[in-house]
Amino acid sequence: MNTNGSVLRTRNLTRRFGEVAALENFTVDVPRGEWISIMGPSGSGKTTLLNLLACLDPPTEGEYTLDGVDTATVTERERSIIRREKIGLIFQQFHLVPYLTALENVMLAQYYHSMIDENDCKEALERVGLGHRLNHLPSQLSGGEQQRVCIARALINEPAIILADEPTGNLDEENERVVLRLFEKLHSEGRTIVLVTHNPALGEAAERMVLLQHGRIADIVSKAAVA
Amino acid sequence: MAAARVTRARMFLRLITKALTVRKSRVAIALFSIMIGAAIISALLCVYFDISIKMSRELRTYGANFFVGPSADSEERTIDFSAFEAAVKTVPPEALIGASPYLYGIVRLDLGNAVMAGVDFSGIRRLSPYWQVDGRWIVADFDDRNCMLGKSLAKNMELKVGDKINLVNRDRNFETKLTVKGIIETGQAEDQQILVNRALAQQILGQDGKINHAMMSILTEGLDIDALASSIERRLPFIDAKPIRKVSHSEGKILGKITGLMALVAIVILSLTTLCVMTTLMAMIVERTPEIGLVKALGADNGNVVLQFLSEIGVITVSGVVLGIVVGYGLAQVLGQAVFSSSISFRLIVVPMTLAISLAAALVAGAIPVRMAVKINPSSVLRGEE
Amino acid sequence: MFLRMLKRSLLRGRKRKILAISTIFFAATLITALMNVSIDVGDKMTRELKTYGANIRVLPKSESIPLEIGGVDYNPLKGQVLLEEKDLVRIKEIFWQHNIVGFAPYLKTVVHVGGEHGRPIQMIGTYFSKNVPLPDEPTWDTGVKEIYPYWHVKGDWPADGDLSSVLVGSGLAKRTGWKVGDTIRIQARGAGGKATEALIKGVLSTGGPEEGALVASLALVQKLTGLQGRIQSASVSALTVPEDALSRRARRDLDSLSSKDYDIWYCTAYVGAITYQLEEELPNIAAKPIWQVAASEGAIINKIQLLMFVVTIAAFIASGLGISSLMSTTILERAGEIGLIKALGAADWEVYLLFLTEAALIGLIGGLIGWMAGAALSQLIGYSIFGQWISIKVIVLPVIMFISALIAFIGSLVPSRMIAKLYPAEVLHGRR
Repeated sequence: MNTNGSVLRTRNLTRRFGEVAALENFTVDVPRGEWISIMGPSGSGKTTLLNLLACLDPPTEGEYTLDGVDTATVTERERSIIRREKIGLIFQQFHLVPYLTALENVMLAQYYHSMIDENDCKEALERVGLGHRLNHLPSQLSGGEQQRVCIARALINEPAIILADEPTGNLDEENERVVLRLFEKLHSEGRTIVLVTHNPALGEAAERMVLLQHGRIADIVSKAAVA
Repeated sequence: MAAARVTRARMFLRLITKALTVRKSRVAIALFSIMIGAAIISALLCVYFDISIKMSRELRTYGANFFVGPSADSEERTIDFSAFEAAVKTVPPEALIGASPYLYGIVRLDLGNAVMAGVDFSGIRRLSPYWQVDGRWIVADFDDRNCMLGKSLAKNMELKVGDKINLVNRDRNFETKLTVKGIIETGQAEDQQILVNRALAQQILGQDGKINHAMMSILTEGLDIDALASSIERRLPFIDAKPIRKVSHSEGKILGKITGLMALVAIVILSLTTLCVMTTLMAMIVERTPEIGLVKALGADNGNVVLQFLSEIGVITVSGVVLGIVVGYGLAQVLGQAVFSSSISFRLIVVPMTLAISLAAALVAGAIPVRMAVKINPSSVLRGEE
Repeated sequence: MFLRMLKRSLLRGRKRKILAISTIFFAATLITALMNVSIDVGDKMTRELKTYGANIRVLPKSESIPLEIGGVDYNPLKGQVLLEEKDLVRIKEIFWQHNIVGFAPYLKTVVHVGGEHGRPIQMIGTYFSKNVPLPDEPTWDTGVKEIYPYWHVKGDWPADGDLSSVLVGSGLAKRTGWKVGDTIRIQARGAGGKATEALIKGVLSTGGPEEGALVASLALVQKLTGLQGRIQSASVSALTVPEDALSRRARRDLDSLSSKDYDIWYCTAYVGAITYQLEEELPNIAAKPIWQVAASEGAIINKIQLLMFVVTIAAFIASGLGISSLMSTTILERAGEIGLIKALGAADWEVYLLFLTEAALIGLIGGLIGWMAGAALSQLIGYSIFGQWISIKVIVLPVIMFISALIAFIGSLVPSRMIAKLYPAEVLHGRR
């Protein structure tokens, strides 16, 4: 397997909470530009995995290399640098700062990352179709719109990977389609996407599906192989 | 494109401004509670700094605390009235509550002998606010047709307010008719005396320009009363000037107790107010724990978060304190009017003290929950758990 | 089911609840201390103000008008009406006996020192600190040392009953040059006056007319004047309450009081009521308030009580606001939960009931612990300022518990209303 081309590479990644292992021996390589989805029923360890991949939580055991950086042994401060440099996060609950406008929420990610360029942020929002909603507060936006702000925010720093946690979980079908189209567009632009979901429609859109069960990999299905 | 660049400092300011202006009701609660806290702290400090001078004035109800009389070395029993006037001038005018000369002599009334005291009524009224007067005070210092009687004397002589009496000095064949304008009760020597104006007494006794001694009531707060006494004695060599130990000694002791009490009470209330401001702010920050988790997930490091939240608190606190000091000044005035019927002076030291106390309390209150929030794992926040 | 919900709700978010309870606990502690101190401050300050000396004078009833100037009486002692020394103990037997701090008798005469033709000097006989056994307190001491704490002696105080030593007033000592350790010969004035040798044991400073006189034990002056067992007057130091409208009315005309007012007046420690009772207890005396002390005391105590009262109110407001805002934040946080309860069909009043009961419980718990800690704190304050314990008023406990519960209750009322009004849908969809 071509490990050198992998953006994301894990070896026997394990996370235990006390005696209980939420995730065990998770090993995967994600080449640059691949769209991979992680699927499984509730309690299968999806969110635990996502937290590890997003560097929000350190693993109990195992290796995790992101864009050439070994993250298993870094300090809390270094982990926050990896988060802002390499990762774009998309949440199920959108998690926008309630007192900032759509534009400012995107600028906030830039603020913690590096330079702030308001025009870049406007463009990012225009790309997700929110050019007319720049100065609205999250409470004035619909769920779909909030999720699009969240996606724009995840993209603004040109991250090495985009991690999405159940991005359509709080959306209706129409908005779900909008978000799905956005992901397809991102994929066509060559971005690396890791999508955690139990929504088959969304999961099957990916190139590869990793099926989790009881914290272990049950199966890996490749679209190309199916085809 | 360069125009669209926003500096980090400006983005920081924008974040704080937004956090304060968009969350209006929450910020208003915090601002209000800090304002009330600062108002109470500054009012209390104002009162505390003024309590000595205020209570010292109140304690002057105990009457004269300074005596001026003939020197103990001389055989003289009188001093010149002008010497008394000179002694009064030595006392700083703002510290002088009242002063009166006394000239005593024995006179014959209709039903027997009595001690007559010649005094300045306007002075003695301020000197001895505790006198219980039936009838009215003599107002004019030149009034030579009225007198005031001690209660026991009036009872023995069967006299009432409004009665007329003949006052005779046999030695000098002097006789005059006086109206009893008021009857006084003090429980002390005055109860057995007849009080007339000093000028009239001098005339009756043939002691022009002389008095036996004088009493003064002086605010001792911030004044070295012993130094005053020796400066009077130096200037007027035939005069004995001394604080009345009974009153001045007790006054110092009582003032000490009162300021001590006030200091402890101030500390208690200060900690109470500080505590309440702290819990308000703490609750406010705790509420925003998810937000802290979010910005951490976006890559903010702990320093960013702490700086932003503490700056927000700083802004709220400083504006709360400014409002609070204004309100507190008003509160101090209300307190001063209610308790002492006089205004409370505003000291500049109160401003930095209030600011320092409030700011310290607010920053501590903010730092604890912010530190707690940045320590917790952002993932647990994002999953919507606590 | 309500109780079960209440229990769960109290146990939920334990950290936040501990914060609320501990805030109320601290506030209740401080307020309890303040209330205890302000209730007791009048009593304590009255004791402190006793440093101003006696506030009642006891004289024979039909004393002729004395011709006294500067402490020297121009009337002869002979023929004056005198009081019996043995009656004095009855001063401590009146209704307000516990308010009598002490008393000191006086017998004054004029003596010559160093021969018949020396300058006349006033001599005062009194108790210094004499043991006057009471039925329930056999070791009770009284005298000028007790009632005039500001009297200052350079040298030693003579013993009561000491017939051969005297104190000399500081003014007199300055004039005559007498020193501690000198022996002087004292000759009582007039016929029947005896003579004695006396040792000067100390120089007395009082700031009053005593500074120009000789002060000796009562027994010595009685012996010199031949007036065994007699006294001229006495000073009494009593704890009194400030004058008010009722006492002023009683002073003007006692007969004008209704019998109910009279009872209230009689059973209140007004200086007037105490002198009245003294006159009832000891026949042939006139008891007079020394208004310099009695009236001023009232004025000062009133001020201090008012000050403490106002300051306590300020503390109430501060803590009330603090706790209210804390409670409101605690409740607003739970909007989501409430939306759920309402979606399950709970009525508004049930939401109120849950929150308000919870608030009241938090208030009561905080108030109770706070009262205990506050009692201890007030002792600390009392001891450090007045050197004695503050009496714990049980009345403060229900007041504090009520107020704590009330503050928590009021603080919860507004946010509960806000939340109860919310539509469940709004809350559940996270749009608050």
